[in-house]
Amino acid sequence: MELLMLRTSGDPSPEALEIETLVRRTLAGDTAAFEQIVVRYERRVMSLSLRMLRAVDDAQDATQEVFLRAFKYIHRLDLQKPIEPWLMRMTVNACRDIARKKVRRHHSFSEIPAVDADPRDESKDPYAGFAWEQQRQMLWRALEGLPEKERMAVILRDVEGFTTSEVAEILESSEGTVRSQICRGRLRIKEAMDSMVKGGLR
Amino acid sequence: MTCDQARDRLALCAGGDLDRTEAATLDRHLQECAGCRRFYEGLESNHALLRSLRRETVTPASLSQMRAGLFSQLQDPAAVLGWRIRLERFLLTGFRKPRYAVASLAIAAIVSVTLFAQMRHVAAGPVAMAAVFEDRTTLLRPDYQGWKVVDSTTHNEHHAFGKAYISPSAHKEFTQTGKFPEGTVMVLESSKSPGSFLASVKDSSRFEDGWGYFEFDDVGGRQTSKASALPGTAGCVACHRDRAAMDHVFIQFYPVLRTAAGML
Repeated sequence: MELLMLRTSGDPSPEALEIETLVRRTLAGDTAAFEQIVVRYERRVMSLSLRMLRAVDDAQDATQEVFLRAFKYIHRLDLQKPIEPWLMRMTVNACRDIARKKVRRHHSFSEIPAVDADPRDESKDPYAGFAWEQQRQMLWRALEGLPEKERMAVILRDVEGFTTSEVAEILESSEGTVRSQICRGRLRIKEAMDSMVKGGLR
Repeated sequence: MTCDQARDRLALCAGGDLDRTEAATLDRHLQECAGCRRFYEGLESNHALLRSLRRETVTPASLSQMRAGLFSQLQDPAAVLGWRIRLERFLLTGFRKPRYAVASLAIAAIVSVTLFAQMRHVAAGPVAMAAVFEDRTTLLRPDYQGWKVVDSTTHNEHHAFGKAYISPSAHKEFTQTGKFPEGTVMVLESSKSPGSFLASVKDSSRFEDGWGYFEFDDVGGRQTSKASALPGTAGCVACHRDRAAMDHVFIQFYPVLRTAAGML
């Protein structure tokens, strides 16, 4: 929250001013200005979508939906506030909508699709290799076993690295609620991981 | 501190979500309790794993594929926005620029004198039920041709919206009492798409805020015959409640109604 407060009070940052200009141009009918907003935030939105939905085509659908909604409702954006939490909130909602449709289609979340990760230099990566891969599979399974709200809170806080108050703003919830969701989520993940280690990952 | 109490805090501590005093108490417990220390190590390694998921990121190819689809949809901005959003934007900007309000009031004053003179000679229309509901919140397409026109496009610089109408019996009662009776129906036409319009119905027994809002479309001559009430999140509900000058109705834009209300 502190970070957000700093950005809202006092002089706006150059980035905030740039976004404000792009938003005003979009409202005046300049679609190219909106495309610049897309290029700036698409990676952030699609990464979060991918982590929420675990399938590239679903993440692409979610990202398109987020930016279409942003384009439609950009006149409701409060320019005194940063645009990112607003986009993240729409991402969470779009992913929720898509996940619900998916549940109706498949009645199951059990498949763990291969992740569409960027190829990187893995030689110095402590998390590279088979052992890490196995742990990561377990972790995703544990995450998918969480209730929706706890999963979202944990992904936003622990994976995406937002502060608790930013997470509360994105999820339109209170800090206290988010804190207890994070706490319960972490404990449940631990429990699930421990039992998978005991029982073996099947 | 018991181990059960400690474990909730350990879960918070593992992600740096504990303040200093809480952390100090916890530290004392950890020094005495080997079980909790192991528990905490597990939490910490899970947290490191979670954090490392951040490096799973999207490929440039899948990003540009997404972008291509998105930008092709943005080629036709009007279709993406839809006329309901354009109405919302118009109303918002209308209020942000007081000059338009002043101009529209001046026009309203001139038009209203003429219209009100005519209005006094208009007999009340057929007393039919203006709003017919199929079920609790599904409205059948109202036949509003012949209703009282309360506004043309004079205040509307974009000309996205056509005429506004009020149901005849409601209009009659409004001119007598200055209030919109239960059952009032108002219609706002789209000027871009003939046959498309928005309707609002005053019915406190059906709608929490007193008024319900409906969208009737005309796609290539195929008209929607009935419409469900738009959800409270649609924006119309809040905007009408907060910004309309009188009982959820934008009479500030409707000279006929302004005059009628002002005469009382």
